[in-house]
Amino acid sequence: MAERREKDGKTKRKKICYFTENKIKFIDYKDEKLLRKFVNERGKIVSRKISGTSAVYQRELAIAIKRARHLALLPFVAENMR
Amino acid sequence: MAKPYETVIVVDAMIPDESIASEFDAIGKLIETQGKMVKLDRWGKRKLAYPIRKRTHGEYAVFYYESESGGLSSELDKRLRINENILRWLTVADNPIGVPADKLPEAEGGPAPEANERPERGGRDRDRDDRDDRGDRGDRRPRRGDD
Repeated sequence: MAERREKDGKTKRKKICYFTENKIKFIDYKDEKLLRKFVNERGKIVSRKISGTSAVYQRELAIAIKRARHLALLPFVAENMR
Repeated sequence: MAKPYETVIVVDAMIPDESIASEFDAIGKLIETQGKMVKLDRWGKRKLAYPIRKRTHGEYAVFYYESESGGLSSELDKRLRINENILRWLTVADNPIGVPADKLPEAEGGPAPEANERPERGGRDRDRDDRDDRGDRGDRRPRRGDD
């Protein structure tokens, strides 16, 4: 079932967890390219409501992003916003 | 029992190359006193995502090693804290990711771990010039109202 009809007539697409899909077991804080996918233009962590990441991976992801920020691999705040 | 550790170290990239190398050497030696180095992975010079102590670039290196828990990490911490050239560091024990496998040598050049030759500058503006000419587009087609 790919789509589900809601009460108000909008269709909701089923979200897919990136990590489950790609069989990524552990999220590496050194993998900047991967982590970039899960922060928005402002540098904020994208909520799992938006990204569809499963809860288990979202927790791991949040830690990885925070570690990457500490090492200046990822910004706390995007360059153009500072 | 000895545990696998990894420590990422960011050294100020403004200092001369020899000093950078000697900083990494010193850390490697310190690790060897109480543990066993498994691998040193140098990433080379990178732009920092945000300036740290007015520095915009850092030399990154990851030390993979095995050690008994306790002693070494606190000793390492103490040393890194004092060192002015170290911008950031992070030690993680038991990272399930493990040690990265060596990249397969694609050419004879091999994996070349010290890839810090290219300065990361002017990337965006440079490719402006070598864009193709649009070439001669020929005459414009006659307008409808003409002749």
